[in-house]
Amino acid sequence: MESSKELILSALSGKKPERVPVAVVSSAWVFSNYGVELSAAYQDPELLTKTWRKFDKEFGADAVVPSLSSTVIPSYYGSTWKFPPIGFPLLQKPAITTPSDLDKLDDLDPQKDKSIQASTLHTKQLVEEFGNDRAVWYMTTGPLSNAARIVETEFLMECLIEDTDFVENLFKFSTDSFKAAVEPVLEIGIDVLDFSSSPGSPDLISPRMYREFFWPYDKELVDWIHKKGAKAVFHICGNTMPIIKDMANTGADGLSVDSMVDMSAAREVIGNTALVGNLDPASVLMNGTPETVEKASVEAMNKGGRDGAFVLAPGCDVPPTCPSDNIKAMIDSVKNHGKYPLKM
Amino acid sequence: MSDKEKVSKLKTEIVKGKRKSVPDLAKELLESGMEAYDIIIQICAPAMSEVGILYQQGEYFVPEILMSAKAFEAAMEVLRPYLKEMDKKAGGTVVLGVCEGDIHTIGKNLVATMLEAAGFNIIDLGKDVPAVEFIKAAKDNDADLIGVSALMTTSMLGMKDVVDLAKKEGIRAKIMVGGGPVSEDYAQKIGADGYGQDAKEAVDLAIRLMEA
Repeated sequence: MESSKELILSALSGKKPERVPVAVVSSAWVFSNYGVELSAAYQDPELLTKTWRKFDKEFGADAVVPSLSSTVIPSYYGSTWKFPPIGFPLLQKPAITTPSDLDKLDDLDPQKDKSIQASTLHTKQLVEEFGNDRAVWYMTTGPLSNAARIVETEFLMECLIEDTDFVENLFKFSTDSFKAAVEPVLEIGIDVLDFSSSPGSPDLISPRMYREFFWPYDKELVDWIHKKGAKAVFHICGNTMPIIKDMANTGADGLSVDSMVDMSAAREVIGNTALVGNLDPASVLMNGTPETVEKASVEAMNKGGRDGAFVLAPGCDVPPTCPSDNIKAMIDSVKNHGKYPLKM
Repeated sequence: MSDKEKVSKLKTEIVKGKRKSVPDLAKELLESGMEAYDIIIQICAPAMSEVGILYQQGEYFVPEILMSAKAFEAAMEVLRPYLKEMDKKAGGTVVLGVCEGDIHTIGKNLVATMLEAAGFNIIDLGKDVPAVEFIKAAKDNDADLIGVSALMTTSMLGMKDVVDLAKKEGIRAKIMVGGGPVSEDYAQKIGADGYGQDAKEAVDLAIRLMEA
C-alpha cells in the first residue's frame, strides 16, 4: 500500500495514486480547533508541532502542514496588525506608504526573526517525526501576497496603472525576502512548498496585467522551488479560470484553486498539472454538515481527479469556526470513496 | 478646445482614470459658465456609470475602476464648493461601512463613489465597523439606507448583527449587503433588504430600495 507521502507525490507528479490524497492546507483552523491562540503559537515551535501531532492522530490526513503566518514577512518590515479573537489578522498600518520608502528596507535575515526561526524549527520537527510517512507540505503567503501587505492593496492597484516601475521593484524585493525566509525549510527537506499569489486574482486585475506583472514572479519562484528539490504548488483566490492556463505554464506541480473554479473545465486546459482543492470553505465546510461535505468531496474528486493528478483540499483558508466533524468528513471521504478507479 | 470638446474630454478622462488632468478641465468648465451641478449630472455621473458597465463587461478590473473613482473624486473636489444647498438634496442618505473584523475597503469605496455619482449623500464609516456604529450613524443622520460590506467569511457574519440590531432598534433605513463571499441567498437568510454583486448593482439596488 502506498504511504500518504507517496499518494501526494504521485498526484503532484500528474499520476494516478492508489487513492485520492487529502490535505488540510489551512493551518489556522487546526490551531483554533485545539484552542491554540494564533498570535502566541507562531513563536512557539513545540506548541506548533504538538498541535499538528494531535491533529494527525485524530484526523489522519495525508499531509502535515507547517506554515509561516501571513503577517511575518510584512511585520519584519514594519507592517502592524490587529488580531481579532476569531478570524484572520487585519493589516492596520502598512510598512511603506510611498515608493521611495522601499529603498530604506534591508534584506531579510531569517536569523533575526523569531517567527521564521520557530517555523523553521517546527518544520524540522515535523520532517523528522512524520517525513517517512506523511507529506510535509509547507504553506505560506507568497511574495506577491506579501507585497500587498507591505503596501496597502489599494495602493498596489493604483501603482499597477500609475507607477509600474515601483510595482516591479516591490515584487522583486518581496520575492528576494521570501526566498531568504523559506530557504531554510527547503534545505530541511520538505516535500511541497505551497505559496499564495492572491493579488493576481482575476477578481482584482485583468488577465493581461497578471501575465505582464505577476506571472514572471510566479514562474521564477516555481523554478527556484524545483531547483531546491521540492514540489511547487500555488494558490490564487477567486475564479482563476481566465488565467489557469498561464498558472499551469509556470511549471507548477499543483494549482490550488478556489471553490468557484469548475474543476472539469480547469482539467481540460491544464492537462496533467495537479489540481488541489476545492471545497467551499464557507458554504460547505463552515455551514455544511458531514453529509453535505461528503457529497461535495465526492463531486470534487469526480470532477477534478478522475485520472489522478488531484489532491482533495479546502478551496481557500478555512474559517476557524468550521466544525471539526466537517473536516473529518472531508478526510474520511477519500478513504471511503477515493480508491482508483473512481466510481461515479 | 471648445466647451463641447471640454465636456467630452472631461468624461473620457474620468473613464480613463486620468486624475491629474481632470481638475483643470472641471475648473475650465466652471469658468466658462457651466453650473457645478450640471457638470456632475451631465458629465461625471454618466462617466462613472460607463465605468460600471465596462467593469460588468469584463473590460475593466479593480485597478482601472479605482483610478476612475479617483479621477471622479478629483473632479468632485473642484466642484463641491460650488454646489448650492438645493443641489445637495440628493437621492437619499446612505450609511456605508465594512463589517467588524474586516479591513477590505476597496469594494466599499467604489460603491461610495458610484452612489455619490448617482446623487446620494454618503456617510462613510470606513473599515472594521461594529454593528452598533452602523445603527448609531443611521439614527444620527436619519439615513434611508445602510450598506454593509465584507470580504471575509468570518466577518460577513457581522452583517446579521447589523440587520438584527436595526430591527430591534426600529431603524427605518433599509439594509443592503455586498462583497466577495456574500450572495443573494445569504442576504435573504439574514433578512437584509437587498444584495448587490458589484458597485453598479449596488447603485441600481439603492435606487430601487428608495422607490420601494
